[in-house]
Amino acid sequence: MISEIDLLPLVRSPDRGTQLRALKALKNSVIGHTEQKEWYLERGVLDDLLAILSAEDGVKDQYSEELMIEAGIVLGSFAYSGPDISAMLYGPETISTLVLTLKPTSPPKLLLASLRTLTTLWTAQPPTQSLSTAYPTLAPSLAALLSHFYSSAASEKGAISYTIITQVCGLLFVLAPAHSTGQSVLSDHLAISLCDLVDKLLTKPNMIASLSVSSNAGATGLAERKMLSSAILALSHLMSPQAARHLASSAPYFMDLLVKLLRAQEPTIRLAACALITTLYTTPLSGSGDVITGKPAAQNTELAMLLVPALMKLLDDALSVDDGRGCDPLVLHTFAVVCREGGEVADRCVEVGIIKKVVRIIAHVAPSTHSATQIGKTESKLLSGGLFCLSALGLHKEEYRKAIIDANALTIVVAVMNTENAPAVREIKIAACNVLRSLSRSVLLLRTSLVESGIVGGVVELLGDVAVVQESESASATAAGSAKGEVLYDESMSEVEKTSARQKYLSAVGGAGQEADGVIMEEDDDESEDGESLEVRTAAMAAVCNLVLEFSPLRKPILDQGILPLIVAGARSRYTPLRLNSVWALKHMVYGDDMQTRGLVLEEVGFPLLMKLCNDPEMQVQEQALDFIRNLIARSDDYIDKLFANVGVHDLFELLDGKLAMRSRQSDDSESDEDEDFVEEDEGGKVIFTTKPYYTEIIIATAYILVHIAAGYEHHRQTIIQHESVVKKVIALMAHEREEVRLACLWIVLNLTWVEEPPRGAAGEDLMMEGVVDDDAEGSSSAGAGGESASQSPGNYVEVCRKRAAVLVRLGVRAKLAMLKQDRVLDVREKTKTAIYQIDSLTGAFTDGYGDRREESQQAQQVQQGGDAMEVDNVPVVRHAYMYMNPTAVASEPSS
Amino acid sequence: MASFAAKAGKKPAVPAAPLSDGRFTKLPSYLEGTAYAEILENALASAPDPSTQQQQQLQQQQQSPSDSSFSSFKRDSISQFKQPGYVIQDPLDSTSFIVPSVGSVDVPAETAASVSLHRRFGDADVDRSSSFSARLLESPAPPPLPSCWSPEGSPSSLELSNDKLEIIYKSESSKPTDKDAASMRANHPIPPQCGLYYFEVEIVCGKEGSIGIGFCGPKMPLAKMPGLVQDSWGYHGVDGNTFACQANGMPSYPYGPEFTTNDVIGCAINFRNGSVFYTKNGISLGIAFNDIKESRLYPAVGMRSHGEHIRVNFGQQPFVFDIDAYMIEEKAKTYKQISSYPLPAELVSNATTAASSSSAGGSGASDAALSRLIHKLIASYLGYNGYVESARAFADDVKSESSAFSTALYGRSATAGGAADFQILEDVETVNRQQIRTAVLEGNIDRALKLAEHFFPKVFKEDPKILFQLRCRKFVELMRACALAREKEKEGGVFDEQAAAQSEDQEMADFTTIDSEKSPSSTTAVKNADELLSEALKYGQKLREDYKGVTFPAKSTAAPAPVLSTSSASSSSLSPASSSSTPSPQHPSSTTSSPPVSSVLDAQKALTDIFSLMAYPDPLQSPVAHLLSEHGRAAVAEDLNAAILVSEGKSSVAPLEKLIKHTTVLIHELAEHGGQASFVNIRRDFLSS
Repeated sequence: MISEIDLLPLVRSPDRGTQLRALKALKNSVIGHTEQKEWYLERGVLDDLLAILSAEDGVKDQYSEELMIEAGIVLGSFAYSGPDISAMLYGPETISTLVLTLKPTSPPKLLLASLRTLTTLWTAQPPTQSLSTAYPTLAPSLAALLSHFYSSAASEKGAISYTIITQVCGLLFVLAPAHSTGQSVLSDHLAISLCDLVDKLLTKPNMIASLSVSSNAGATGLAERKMLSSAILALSHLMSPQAARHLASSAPYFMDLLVKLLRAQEPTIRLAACALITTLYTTPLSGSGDVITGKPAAQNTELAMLLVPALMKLLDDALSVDDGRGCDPLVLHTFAVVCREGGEVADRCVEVGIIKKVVRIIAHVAPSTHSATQIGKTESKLLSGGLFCLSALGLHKEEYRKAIIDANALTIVVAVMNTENAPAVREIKIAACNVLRSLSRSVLLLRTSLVESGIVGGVVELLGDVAVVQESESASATAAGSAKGEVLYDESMSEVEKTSARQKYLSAVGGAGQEADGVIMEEDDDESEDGESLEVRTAAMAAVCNLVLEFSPLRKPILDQGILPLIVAGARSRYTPLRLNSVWALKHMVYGDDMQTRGLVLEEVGFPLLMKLCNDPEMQVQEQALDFIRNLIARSDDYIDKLFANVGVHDLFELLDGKLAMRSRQSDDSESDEDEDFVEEDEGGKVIFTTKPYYTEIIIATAYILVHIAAGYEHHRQTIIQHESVVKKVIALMAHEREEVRLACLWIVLNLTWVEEPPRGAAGEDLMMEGVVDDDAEGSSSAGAGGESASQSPGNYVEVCRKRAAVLVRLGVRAKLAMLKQDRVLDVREKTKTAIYQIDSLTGAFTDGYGDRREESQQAQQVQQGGDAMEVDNVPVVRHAYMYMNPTAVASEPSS
Repeated sequence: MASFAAKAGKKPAVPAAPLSDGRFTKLPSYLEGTAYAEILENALASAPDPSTQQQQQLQQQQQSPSDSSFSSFKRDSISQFKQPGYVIQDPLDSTSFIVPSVGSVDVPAETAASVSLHRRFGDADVDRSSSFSARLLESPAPPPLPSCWSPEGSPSSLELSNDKLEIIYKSESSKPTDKDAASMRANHPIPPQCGLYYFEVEIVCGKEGSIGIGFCGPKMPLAKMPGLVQDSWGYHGVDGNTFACQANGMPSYPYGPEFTTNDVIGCAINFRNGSVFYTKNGISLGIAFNDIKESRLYPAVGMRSHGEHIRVNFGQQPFVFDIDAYMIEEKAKTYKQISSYPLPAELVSNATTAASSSSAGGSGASDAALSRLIHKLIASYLGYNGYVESARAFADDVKSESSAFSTALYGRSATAGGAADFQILEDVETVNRQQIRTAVLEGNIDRALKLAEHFFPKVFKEDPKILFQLRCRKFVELMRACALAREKEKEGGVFDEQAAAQSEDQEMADFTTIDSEKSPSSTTAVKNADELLSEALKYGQKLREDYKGVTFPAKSTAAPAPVLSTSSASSSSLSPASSSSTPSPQHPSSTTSSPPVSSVLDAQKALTDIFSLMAYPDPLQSPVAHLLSEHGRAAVAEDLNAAILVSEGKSSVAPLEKLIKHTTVLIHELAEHGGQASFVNIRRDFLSS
């Protein structure tokens, strides 16, 4: 098992000649012999190799170059021999030594060895921290290698130069995975170098022609073609969305060349071109259930139409051999990105059977048992790619979701969800959660296929991955939360989580043994583990979001498993995507008539956390938190009172006031040109408000909180009118460009000026749907409310209403209403008429000509919309409407 | 409908003028490089646009067939080739100034002066005894591709527009029923020889979606949708179903997605296995029909509702679907099948017994037999063509390789049995032929004549035509020298013929082994351009005198002596193609009606051609400059070599060439009704580098 001679003393010999011979012998004895490798590594050969590699430049003799080459090769052979041994290598010292060898002046053989070793190591353990911080020379070195060897390729040694560039690109591909949270791991400078390289390659005379189908292969050398495809692939990963958009719009010739590559003879080049074009026309895929990515970039449909046939051919070709087992996972990942855009592109993919094709491929690699060990790296990538593809499609249309179910994809999802948790299956689990999330958008599926699937256990288990952690964390958070103003998500959670993650990782790695622990327990690893585990939880949370809706049959089973504390824990997470999804899930839980659950949730969340979330640095979290309040106080005067009591009327209105004036709040935000955020434009006599989209969402959420308060008791309504600053803003926003904002403001006005004349019976015969669950109008909630009747006498009551109307008029509501009479949206015009009628009748300005407005007003009131928020992910899915609590309803209730 | 053509302002269709209606400026990309395409291109190049033909006739009428007017006619004929349309190559690139025969099938002129294969393998002239070649000569023009819709037989509700590429359905009926269905087919059936046929239909306006796309036979009643009636097949947009020769009410087959406005639907018929697939917007939808066996199929489209509007692309535009890649794949499949086919048993056994005593059986023996066969073919080819050094090097190579091989396999006892065969042609005769070839390639015609006379005294007696060819070339060489000298003089200074001659001598000395005597031309003293010109003129006059009224019959067993032409005037009825000295044949179809004329080398015409050089003060810049090209020497050298071989009682071509020719003909035959052979193109796939 061990070679006859221990070569280590010789490797350490001061005589360079001996050292070199020993290294060569070492190389021959370890290559292909795992035991030998372990034996030498355990005896510290790594240090010797690193010492040779990092030898001072000064000591240049006849041996130094060869010694470095041999050391590099030996190190490489260690790296290739599987996770156990490469884990023994992994460490900042190894990496930084290797990074330092990446100089254009290094011997090419050494460069190749170093690049391969780094690629292998970073493939096994992707870097999570910023590489430019950890290894500042890496990006410049790689850029230097690219330019140096591209220019030298033209002169002599073409083949080796191409190979080196190919290796550099391969490394870049690994370092900048498209779904990485850190696109910034490498510098922009590198992306520019790479872009430059690809540009030079593509514009080389005859390059495109020589790659075409009809050309005789060999016109362009194999090495050069490999280089081209790897460079394009790397670029597709490396490019930031901004750079991509810039390139796509500024270099049409470049796009033309890329499009031509879609018909190249070689599949790898076609795939690379697909990947790059996809990057150029979409925003990057978040493979982690990360719902933070913004709205899709303006898509170039024409480009996508060229893309789909090329991708489909790659998929079909893969399917024609061995039923797609050999499919490149990147094909599916690229499809996922393309399909995520939805629209006609997704339609075209679906109509030619992409769903069935993808399911056919991933059915082979899906785990058949509970054990995770059988899933290899490639299978895992293929499976996650396929699942991402399905989830991307499921986001869009009910018919896609139905097709996904019909293709029997749920079996695979369930199999994945029920596989034991292990690092190897993390990505698959995330992908499976995404599919669930997509499918749960269908209320129909939520009530049928998903119920029967038996996924609850799997999802909860994923969230409960940190159940032990959660207990202590929740306690500490509650404690922290009670002290106002303290940081709610503290360090303790991540510390505990780290420990658990580390244990899990070690048990998974298993064979690494005690000695290896020192290497593995580096900071990086913890970070990476933490990140991955968080991603899984985030994805699971996204899947939970819709499952906990009131009308979901899965709500009870899930709640019964004690998921609520897990969700609240998520809402405290420092990891923004998880926090966002968690708040989203909470928002869904307080939606509906189930006051008991509302109470439980509020108790678990607590007002301090809620207020914290309302001021979250992340806009989307704020929006969800405001929506949570909106749902919480909908049709419940009790909860309005609770809100007032716990937050304080002053603080609450200060909050709402701030939200309605996003410009001033964000003016210190240096990232954008703030003057654009909240603009009053004079447009043909009309003053139009525009705000940035994410501010607008917050304004809408805030406005509906006010709508609900205005539908509350008389004293609730009075509270609003007493905050003139808020009312002024509401009136100003009646000129907002988005009709949702205008409508919400109108509702506030309507509710504030509504006078209940003859007390009437229970309201709620009608309800108005503003939105539906895609095509499915399921789950509309019924109306009905409770509360107490106004205590004031009718006359007094009307007088108060009149005063409120007077305030509104004083603050300029009439001018705005006059403007809205000509609104392009019918609904807005109708509501405006009603509002004008109500105000006029209260302020005595009522004149003939309104005709039956009074009656209409009543009718309108009956279907007035409270509009609580139930949205999934980025895409508004359901906006349930029901009778808000108006005086009509109040009167019908037995007074207490 | 009959009035339609007039209404659309179209010229009446010209029958039997494949593709020459100008609809294709370029063949559909996926057919590029197929044997079918090459034949079609040739046919096209040799059968010019009828309008141009008329123009030429006019010119011929206006101009007397005198020498001086001839050159201007030639200019016209050249410019005719430059017209846009189906011009495959520029005749100015033509390399041989004399075509030894006309009527060959494989025609595009050799543009590359490749040393290895000057001869066109398909050239029927090369071996006249071959019955295959005879068949080739007689093969009719290949059927044309569909190029537009044909209103013939279609209901009047279909209207054509945009050069007969678009169809619009017009009808009063507001609620379309099956009775309103109307189909139209293309102007030509799909030629099965092309192996794979593909066209795309863009739905400009889909309306009710009741459009059917497919193909049909000649018997399909056109008042029905494709697929819903006998002899037709279709894919329907309204439901995405396919129909095959069904009557209404028959069950349909769910196939693909529905299609409507703005979709592009493609239809591909693969004659390799009779399968059909459709594409939608560039994506293959998979096999729709199998086992289509009919050989006369037309692209067809059917519609039913008012306002429906389609536009077809028969390959005039790039396709949305990447059919080129599909074609390459099909081709690869064919070649894979061929290479997996076992070697014939007799070949294996022959080779095995003929070779060493080794008795290795199975594929090893088969491989060995095959490689021996290939080695022999190569060696004989090199020998035949006089590449002595190469042949020698090759033999050495094979010898050492095979001895190493057999040593490794069978031990030292085995000898390289096959290697001995390579020596066959490496003899004095081969060396002599090589010398002669070298002389011709050097432009030293006198020396070549002398050597040939010396070593192969029979050759000029048996083949006076080759002597004529050489003499013509000699004249051209003189004109060339004169032109070069004039150019030199113009640049200043006297043309240093001495220096030129010396360098020529030097070159010659490098390879002259037998005859060290200096050739006359190289011994002449310094000459200026005028002297050279007068020498050329003198030589030309002599040439004309010697061959006055002479014509050469087709090479046969007939009398070797020149035959006096009975009507030398008739020789002026030249086809434009041959007058431009493009090595183009007459239209193959015409060969059947006009007997051996095709293979007659018309001496008068050839003389007229070369004498046109004198009409220009600076022939190098003239339209006939190509005649002076050095490439012309290669053709003469080839022909001389072949003539010598024949005179020595050998086949004029190497077995390798013969093999290739035979295979080409066989494949041509096989491909006529479709099938895999269509995907094989010997010339392009194996002989072009």
